[in-house]
Amino acid sequence: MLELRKDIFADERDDNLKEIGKGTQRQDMLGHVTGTSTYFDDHKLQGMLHLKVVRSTHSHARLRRIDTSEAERSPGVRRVIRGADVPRNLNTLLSLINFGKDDEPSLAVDKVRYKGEPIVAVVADSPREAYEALATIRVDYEPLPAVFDVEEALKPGAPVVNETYPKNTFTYHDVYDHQKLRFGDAERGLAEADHVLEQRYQMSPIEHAPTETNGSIAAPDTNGRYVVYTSTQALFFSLDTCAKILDVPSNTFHFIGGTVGGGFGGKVDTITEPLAILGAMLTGRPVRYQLGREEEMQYGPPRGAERIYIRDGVMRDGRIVARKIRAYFDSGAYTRLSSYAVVKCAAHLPGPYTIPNVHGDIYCVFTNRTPATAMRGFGVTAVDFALECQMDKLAHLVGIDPMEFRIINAYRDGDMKAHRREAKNTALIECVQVAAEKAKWPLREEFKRMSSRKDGGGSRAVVPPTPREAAAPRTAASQQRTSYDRPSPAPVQETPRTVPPPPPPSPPQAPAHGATRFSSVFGTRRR
Amino acid sequence: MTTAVPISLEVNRERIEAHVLPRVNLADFLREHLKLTGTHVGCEHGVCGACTVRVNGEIVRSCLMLAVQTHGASVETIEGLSDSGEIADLQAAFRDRNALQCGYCTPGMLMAAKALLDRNPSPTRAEVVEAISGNICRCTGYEPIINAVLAAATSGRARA
Amino acid sequence: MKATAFAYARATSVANALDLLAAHGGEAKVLSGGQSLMPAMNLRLISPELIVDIGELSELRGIAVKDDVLTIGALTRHVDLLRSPEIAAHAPLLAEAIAHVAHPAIRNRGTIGGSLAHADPASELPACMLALGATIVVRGSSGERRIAAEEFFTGIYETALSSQELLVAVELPAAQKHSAHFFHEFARRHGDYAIVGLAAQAKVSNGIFADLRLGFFAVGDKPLLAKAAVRLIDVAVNPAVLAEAAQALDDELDPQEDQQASPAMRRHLAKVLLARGVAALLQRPDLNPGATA
Repeated sequence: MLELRKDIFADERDDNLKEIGKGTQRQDMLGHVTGTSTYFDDHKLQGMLHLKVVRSTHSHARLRRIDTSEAERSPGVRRVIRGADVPRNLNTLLSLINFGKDDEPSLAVDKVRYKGEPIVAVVADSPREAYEALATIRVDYEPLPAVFDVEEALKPGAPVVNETYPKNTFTYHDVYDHQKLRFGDAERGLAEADHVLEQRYQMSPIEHAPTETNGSIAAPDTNGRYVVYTSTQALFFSLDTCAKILDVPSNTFHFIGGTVGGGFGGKVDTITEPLAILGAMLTGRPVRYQLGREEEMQYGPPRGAERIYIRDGVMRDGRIVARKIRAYFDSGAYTRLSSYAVVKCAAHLPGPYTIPNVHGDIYCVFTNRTPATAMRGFGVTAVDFALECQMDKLAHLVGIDPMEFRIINAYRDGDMKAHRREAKNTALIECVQVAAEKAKWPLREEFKRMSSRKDGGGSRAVVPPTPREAAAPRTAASQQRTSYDRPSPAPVQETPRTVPPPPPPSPPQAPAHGATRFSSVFGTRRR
Repeated sequence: MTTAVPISLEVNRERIEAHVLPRVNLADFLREHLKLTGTHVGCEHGVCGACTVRVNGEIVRSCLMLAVQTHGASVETIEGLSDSGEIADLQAAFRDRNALQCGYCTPGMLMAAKALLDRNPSPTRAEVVEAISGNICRCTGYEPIINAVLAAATSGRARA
Repeated sequence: MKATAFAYARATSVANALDLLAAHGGEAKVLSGGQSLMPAMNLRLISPELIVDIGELSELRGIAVKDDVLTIGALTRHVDLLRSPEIAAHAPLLAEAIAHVAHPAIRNRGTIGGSLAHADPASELPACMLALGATIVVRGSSGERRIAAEEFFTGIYETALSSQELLVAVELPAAQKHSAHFFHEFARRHGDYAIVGLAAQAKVSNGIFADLRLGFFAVGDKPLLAKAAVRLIDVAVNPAVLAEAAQALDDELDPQEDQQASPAMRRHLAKVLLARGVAALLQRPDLNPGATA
């Protein structure tokens, strides 16, 4: 047996590996507080050239003519780069994992699809000379009708944003134009619910606004390789994307980075590296391409806007019996990562709750807006916002405390989730209990005693019959819908349920601390 | 084309002679000509504070000054303040309180904090907030930075 | 973004600066503090061919008091005003206003001359000049002009200055006995440009305004010296009188719509500031009920 000598460096090593609860120090702290950490732009290479791009002034237009002749003669200009110079000028980021069709050019050739799309790149001795050359470039646009709204984009006859996806939706597995989630019979569940609430939630696109803007510096290295200093959050991902776009083996590149002046998801799209490297390839010199502040704010990719419709059926005792969600991701003009965001969204439905009937349709939609990208849990954060607002509204609707409402509907170990997986290691109930305690929010005793480990499984573990797109059953005429201001309906005999309801927790009493009740529930309807 | 202007100035107590085009701003002069890259550029129009340096003892936005305006002046950057040891308390406090994540705003923050503590060695929390209100941080939410400045003020007073 | 190329001249005297401006007219811009000029140039909103740097002209710097007149040189920096004992004693309104101008690094460079010549309608100093009854002293090749503050600001970024003149100083009457001042602005964050603001200077005697000058800013294309103030002078101010003055103010205002506020919101905020200002100046909290400090 090989014995390792532990006495060497013994004082530097603590083999018990107990780190939790101890303060620990970042290895880059010293560099950051002394101003010596190197961000990509801190590499000042001799003979470095500067790259700037001409950006489309139209949201949607054909490019009739591009005249760069004056720019080519402009003082200080070393190279003007066009789409035809890019070895593989059509790419999509997730093609690296075989997901999606190449849809986005590095430099637009015949069409621009969003305001700010790069058309021509100029490489010059100084940024000023690059700007001055840019100003001489003439682009003749033929404006096309544009579409900026996700639902408008899906209507027949809407302008086609990207010919790769002629229906303005991303296509999954070459066939499906959206992500679907089907579990049980949501239409029936809605028809049989005591109340139905439908709400629409709309997010704005959100700009990361990192203090350091996106950028990279590429330089010829020895042995025909290139070294690339970059602000990317994803070194290998960016390296492989560049290898694909520039059609060279990936070992051509040496990417150096990892010191990022704020990313938050906005520095994964690899928007500057391919052109910087191409510039270095075409000039034999180091080339720097960094977005200015205005470029970053306006043309740097944001977290995509989302529109989410949630229609829930809830019983007066607080159980959500059906949840139907229709959501639209605004991917902007190109896919980038939105196709994946939509999958995440679908995977996240219906939230951490056991709901016997769930129906989800999630679309990745193309519009003539700035392409969207990742940001802090994209695909999940917005739909969570919508779901939790909806939970509060439902609780208000049935007159139950919102914390207790969540405990009623929380998934428990052993339940069947809408994705046909067993719920394991669930903990929403405990989280709500702890949050309530810390916020001094009163919970009734029975809710304090509930647990993720109890009352799950059994009939809740069954996959309910899930019809294939059957016609929706007609709803009872007197059923309350979206009832913030409706009078109470006359009592009606309910049709017998075909799916045995999950064992409900004991019906809650009126909350003692005064949560508002406004509907006719609590005892007036016979089941 | 305009001609280069000769300037003579002190940067971190070193005499510098240079010829610069008028349009070169101080931030670019420090970063490109002098390779002092600790001063960071975030917006180029005076809003974010990442480019803060000291000129003749007072903090300024180096992106809003022309290099030619510093002829005859004394300029100090984060490198100078760090090497001299005058912000050691602040640097230690930033380290101990995790007053940074990406680190990009940090040199500017340290400059602004030092300017405050030079004038006001016992600032209130509100005074710290005011002093750093011109420095944008996208990562931390500011609380650890404020705590670090107050901690540095305390340790500075303890030593005095 | 970087500024376009330009020629640069460091003025050696006011006369030299004026010669340069006369030679280059509209193609030259004066650089004093640079805190408004440089952002505009870096964003390429303006591209002058020549920059005339007056930063070395020490004759334009300084604060002096003589015969009840406070003279402030154009090159006096905001931070100098903030720290000046003369300003604290004779024009405390200015000291209070300056604390709202941007942030420390900007105040270390920005100058009063630059701020007034730039004439941003949302900025604090032009309104202070109206409230203080200032005279703007301007010099050109044909000599010196003295322009009352009310006539100096003519529109958005527009003043009575010609492109060949230099603002050299401002003169204010030193604050007299029974003087009171009030300053407040509404802004989303401290240091932002105001949504609406008020700089007010008054003479109060036995609870009555002997004089009242209300300088509103961010209410239109230039600062407004409200004529409505006359309704509050030499009268016992009660809620009815104040309401009438508020109505008169509303009639005078023509606020702009922008990303920060609608005209209606600006009208409302101006009236709120009127009530707060009057209540503070007269030390009559009853005139502004239900308000927090």
